[in-house]
Amino acid sequence: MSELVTVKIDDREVKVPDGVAIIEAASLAGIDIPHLCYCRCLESTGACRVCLVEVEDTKGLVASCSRKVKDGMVVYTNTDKVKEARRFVIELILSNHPGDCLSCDKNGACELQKYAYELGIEKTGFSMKDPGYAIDDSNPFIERNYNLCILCGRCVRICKLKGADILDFARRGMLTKVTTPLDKSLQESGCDFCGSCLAVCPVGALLEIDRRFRGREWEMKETETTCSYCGCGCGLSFGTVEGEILRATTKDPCDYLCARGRFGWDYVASPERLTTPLIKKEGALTECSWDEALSYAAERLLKLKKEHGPESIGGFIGAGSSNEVIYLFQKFLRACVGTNNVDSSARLLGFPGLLDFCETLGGEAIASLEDVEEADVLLLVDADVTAAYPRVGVAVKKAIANGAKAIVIDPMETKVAKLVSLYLRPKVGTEEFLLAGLLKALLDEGLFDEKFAKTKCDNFTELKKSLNGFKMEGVEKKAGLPADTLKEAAKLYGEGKRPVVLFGAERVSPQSLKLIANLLLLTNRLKGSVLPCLLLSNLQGAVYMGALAEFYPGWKRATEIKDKFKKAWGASLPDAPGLSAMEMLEKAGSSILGMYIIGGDSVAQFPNATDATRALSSLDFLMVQDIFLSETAKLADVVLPGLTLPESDGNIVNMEHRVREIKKCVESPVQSDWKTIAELSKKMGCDMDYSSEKEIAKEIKLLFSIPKRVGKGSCRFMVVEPKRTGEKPDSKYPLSLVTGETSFGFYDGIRISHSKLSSLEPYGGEYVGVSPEDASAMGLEEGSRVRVASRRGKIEASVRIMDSLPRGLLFMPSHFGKRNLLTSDDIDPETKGPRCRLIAVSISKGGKK
Amino acid sequence: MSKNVKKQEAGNQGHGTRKPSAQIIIGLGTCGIAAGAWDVWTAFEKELKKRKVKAELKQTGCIGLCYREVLVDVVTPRGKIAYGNVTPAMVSRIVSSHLIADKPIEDWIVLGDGYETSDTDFLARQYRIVLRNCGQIDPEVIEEYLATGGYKALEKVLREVPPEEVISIIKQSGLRGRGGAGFPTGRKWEFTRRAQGDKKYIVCNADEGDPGAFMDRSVLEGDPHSVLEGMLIAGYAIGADEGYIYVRAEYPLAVKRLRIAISQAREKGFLGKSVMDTPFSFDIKIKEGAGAFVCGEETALIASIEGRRGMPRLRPPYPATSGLWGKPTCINNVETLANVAWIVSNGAAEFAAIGTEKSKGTKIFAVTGKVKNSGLVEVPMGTALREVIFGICGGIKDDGEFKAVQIGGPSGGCLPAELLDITIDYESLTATGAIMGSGGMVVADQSTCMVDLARFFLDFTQNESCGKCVPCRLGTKRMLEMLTRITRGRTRDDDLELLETLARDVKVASLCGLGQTAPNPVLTTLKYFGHEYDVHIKERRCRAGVCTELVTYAIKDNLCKGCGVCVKHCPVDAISGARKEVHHIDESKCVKCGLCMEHCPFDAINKV
Ligand SMILES: Cc1cc2nc3c(=O)[nH]c(=O)nc-3n(C[C@H](O)[C@H](O)[C@H](O)COP(=O)(O)O)c2cc1C
Ligand code: SF4
Ligand code: SF4
Ligand code: SF4
Ligand code: FES
Repeated sequence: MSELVTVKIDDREVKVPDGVAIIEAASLAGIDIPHLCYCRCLESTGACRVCLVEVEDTKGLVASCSRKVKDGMVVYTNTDKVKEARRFVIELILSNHPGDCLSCDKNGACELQKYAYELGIEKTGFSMKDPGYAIDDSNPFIERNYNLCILCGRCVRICKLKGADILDFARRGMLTKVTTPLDKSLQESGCDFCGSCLAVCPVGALLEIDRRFRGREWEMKETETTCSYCGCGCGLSFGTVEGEILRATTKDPCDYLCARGRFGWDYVASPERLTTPLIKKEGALTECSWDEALSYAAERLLKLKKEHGPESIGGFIGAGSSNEVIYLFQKFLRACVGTNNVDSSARLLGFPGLLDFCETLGGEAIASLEDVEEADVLLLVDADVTAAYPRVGVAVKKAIANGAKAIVIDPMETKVAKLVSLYLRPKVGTEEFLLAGLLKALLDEGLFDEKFAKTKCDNFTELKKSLNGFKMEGVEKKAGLPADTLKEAAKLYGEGKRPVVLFGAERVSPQSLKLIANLLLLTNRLKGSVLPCLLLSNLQGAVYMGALAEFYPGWKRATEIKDKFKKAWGASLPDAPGLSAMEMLEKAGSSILGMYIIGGDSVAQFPNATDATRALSSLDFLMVQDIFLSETAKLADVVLPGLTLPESDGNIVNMEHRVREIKKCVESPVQSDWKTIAELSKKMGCDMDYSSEKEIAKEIKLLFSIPKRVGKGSCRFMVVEPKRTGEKPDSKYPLSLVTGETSFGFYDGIRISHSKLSSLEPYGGEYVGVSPEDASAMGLEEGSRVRVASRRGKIEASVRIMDSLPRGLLFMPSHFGKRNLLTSDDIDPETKGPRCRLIAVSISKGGKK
Repeated sequence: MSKNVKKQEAGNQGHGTRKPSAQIIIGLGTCGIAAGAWDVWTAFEKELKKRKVKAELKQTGCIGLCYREVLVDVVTPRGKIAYGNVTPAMVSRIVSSHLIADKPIEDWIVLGDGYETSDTDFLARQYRIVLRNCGQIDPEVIEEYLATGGYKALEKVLREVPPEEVISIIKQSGLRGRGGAGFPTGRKWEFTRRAQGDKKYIVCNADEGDPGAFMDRSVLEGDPHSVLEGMLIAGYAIGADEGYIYVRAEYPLAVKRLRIAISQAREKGFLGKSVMDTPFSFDIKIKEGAGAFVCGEETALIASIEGRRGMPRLRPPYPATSGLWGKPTCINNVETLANVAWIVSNGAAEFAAIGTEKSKGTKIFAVTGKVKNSGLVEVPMGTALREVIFGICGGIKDDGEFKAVQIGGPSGGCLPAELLDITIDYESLTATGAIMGSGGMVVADQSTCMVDLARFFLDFTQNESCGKCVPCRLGTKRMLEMLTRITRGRTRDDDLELLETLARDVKVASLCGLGQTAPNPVLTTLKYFGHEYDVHIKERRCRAGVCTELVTYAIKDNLCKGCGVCVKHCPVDAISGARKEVHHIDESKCVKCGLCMEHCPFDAINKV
């Protein structure tokens, strides 16, 4: 590919990589060949015939989007013959186009209009016709008006590549039309609502319903920023008119956004947003001024600090905030309050174990999305990539489309599991056995780097010894997978040239993480070879910023680095180790008396919500800063309005450890979160004075640099004895329940529940997924109401029969807020986070519709 | 039927028939069945039983004399005699007179050793390679094919000829693709053989979508093994171990006979693992097409076999390098493949001796339209058009006057009488603006309107356009609209000019062969029958009287007796006139139904 050839285009000689299409070569030479069906990221089809050019010594005209260059090729892109053909084609297209440009939102950005203008076509030789199709706006987001469609097929191709592969052409001749299978609605066809089709449509056939008649292209202000949902951190651009978001898109139509990124921003303008501070007066939250709220909060916190010591105060911040806010928050607690009791949702989503993981393998091991796309073998462990981190899902699909072999380990048959070469379905909670079996198979088959393991790694002998005692029959018995299948998987993975392991950080057990580290060490794959998938946009940033009790900014253990920060911050810093979020809740009312929570909710986010809520209610003082009045905010003494990321400036760090910029695209009456923290600190007598988030960013930069992929690479094998994870079912709670992501839901559901996205979730997300076998055994029907109970609580839900589930496993979307009334707050002693997302439950018929 | 009894030596009749007892062989091709062959079969069954006559009732495919179906061959020790236009009512006489009394019924004989009939020429002036067995053997009995030397060519190459040499034999023979484009078959095989790939395919294109064409159907129905043998040899030559036959679902009989043939060949060890106990393995699958014309285009065909929408894609890459499931694939037409075994058996030189310098061998045409004898005609390349239409097919029906011949189906062109003496080969046909195409040949007489004919073919192609590329999808539609306007007298001044530009633009700008050739009927009629367009546009008249809206009915003063019959029949009261006086048609009222002309007892009304 990289070999260069010389071609002459319109008398301009250029050197271009061999094998590119003429249109691409021309673009390298600065010549833009008109085109309609061609799209850089899609396979060319040569359908529109707008890009025709003349090639010397070639009969007829050639579609430049599809013909590859050859050394010495001479191309003319603008001869009379070419122009005539181009004009002819555009006129033909116009002859079947309604010509409603006056009220079309694409006016000014329509590619057909552009070429008609450039070619000076005033009136076509044919009469204009409207094919007369009904407009489809039966879903909340995408309007399909096929009267405007020019049948370029871009949508069909991109839907296959990145979407749900539901679009295709139907019928023939003039009746040809893009449709879904059986012409059903998008929802019924299983559309992902990624809107990829909409982004590439050159005309107004596919449009965001929300923007219709509210702003033409040139009236929109574009702000390029980063999506604030999952850990992929996709770049996006908000188009706004008069301070209102009308649509989200990508600058390059080939870049991907999932439904949340493209359509899930409407919560920002929800009328339910908090805009004024509230103080609890006589048991009721009452509006007050910022100054009153902050002064009151400072007074209460100072009082607690004085009477019970700084350790009586704790802080928790959600990982949906920017680096700057998180940094300032932990600085406030450490330097101003004087406690290490500062934690974040990183604790709840499996992060602490990752630190050891990275230290063992070295930071280089973290793969980028490009590494995933270019991989030849993929191993996915408990990672529902298309639902939880859809951009990763697209990378995985792309790799598979390019011929990569993929192995999925997951008790749930996820969407990717259907595409892969090898799907390993362990019995519920037995992933550790399977991973250990895989390790053993690699060893047994000699599919590992023995020299590396022996000479460069610690503990190899111990590992070998532990695996020697491990029986493959055990795996078959426990996990239900025969030794041969494991061998096949080991062979696939072991023989890969550029394999990447992916796992859902919030789903794998801490032990599984160690097993995966062993796997990577054993095969000496320590460069771009593993991608821990992170659920929240700034989980990685939260950890870099020091929002885990044991760590200071820069991902350094408090004990190692305290002195440096003492100097930098000019404050005395606490010695006592901080408490994790789970520990703070445990001690709430006893040794923890006051808490400051930003973007955290005991019901929607914390396991065992009943106990978590009780704990928070027992505090002397609780201050909550959030965008909506959450269940936790309702318990607070002071409630401060928070800002959303589309209203903020700053940075985040995505799962690839890449820093991404956040830009304010709409103004909010609410003040910036960093400002709130800074003002509070001032009222508490600390000198945390900043003029902008830029200044905070500068301070961060002086202290440490991101990305600095953490971990030196201790290369130490960890001996692990595999165990069944999760709560053991018993006769009272005979089933297991796992919570996870869905395409249109997200995490705690707080933003989604204020977005039209939630309307796409079956039963508004309030369901329990049941396998068809269990459903028929228990006589449950789709949509029937049931009570689901665990050792901690009981909730009602609708039954959703899901083919992807095995017998004995139930599923609940994580954005189903009440699910935490069931979940377990059992703490893992090592990570101090929740032990496992798998709990034992029972299910019984009944409950209100 | 005219008859001319004359004793003569046997022609090329009698292949593959085994003598002893009497045989009755009924032509059970699709054309025969459509003409009622099954009823004739049942009638024979009953009659033979009733009369207790011992004779074997057998079937064969279509021999090509479509205008004589139902055809029945009666084989007795005196030889083989074919009766044409047989109906169940004729059966009892054939049995009693011919079989029992040994007296052939001369009036009904179409062909027979020693009989000369008006149909003798139809076969005698042909040169049958591909159709060698059609109408001669029972296609459902592999032994009959074997008896004609079938599968000998396969055996020969498998045992004696290395694949490269097979390719050079085909190259030397000069065989070119009969599917339309005329690409040299040997070279296609060579490309596929040389292409990189762990797996390769042979695909037989039996989509035959041209309206009016049925050459491939007849071969598949009449001699399926010749196609299988061709595929096997091709597979061996290019290194493929799997073949697909893509056949129209509208050809159920062909599909049935192919299935029978495939299972028989498997039983004999000609298909499957270790063919004829050699290391060569090959198997064939049938894929029934959905019946879209465009699915005959090779890349659309591949997509369709793969289970995708049958839409053409750009070439290169050609199927020879990246075809079915991305593997090197050689796609050949039925007729192309049916030539292969003959070439191997008879030698490349023998084949190359037939035809012109660049077009070798024979070509089958399905001649339809206004000829006396319509049917399948296989002639050497280089035969004059006149020979086919007048020599073999007996000229124009009802002694009409020849006007034009459309060659190559909807992708082909319309040629006038002046070009009747050109020869049939790829080069001379292309030079006229028509193409060889797959072999459709529609003959038109003076009652055909050329504008309407062009409109007919264009209507077909624009409906069949896959819809992918703009010039074909919209361009053919716009052309059709113009032609429709012309045939309705609603022309705009610049229509003719625009039509021609449009036609040329669609040709150069379309993606696949469908769009690139769709304008051919229009362009050739414009070229050779431009005056007809002129008359339509300038005089608003259709001389052939086909374009209803351009026709006027007029009463001839000298013939009208004033009987008033026309007045009674006119549905809109457009005719007036006193009794016994000359009548008149009010043109503004006339709806051109033609009822008056039909009923005038004195032929006083005519169309102008
Ligand atoms: C619109 C269109 C329809 C075609 N239909 C047929 C067909 O019905 N049968 C066929 O053999 N070839 C058909 N062809 C030609 C095939 O694409 C291909 O050239 C041919 O099958 C190659 O076989 P050959 O080399 O033996 O001729 C068609 C081509 C076009 C453009
Ligand atoms: S939104 Fe995405 S999944 Fe839905 S049709 Fe468009 S590309 Fe396909
Ligand atoms: S809807 Fe848009 S992208 Fe899809 S085929 Fe039509 S014009 Fe192209
Ligand atoms: S020329 Fe016609 S049939 Fe061929 S690709 Fe274009 S639209 Fe389809
Ligand atoms: S851009 Fe090349 S054919 Fe459409």
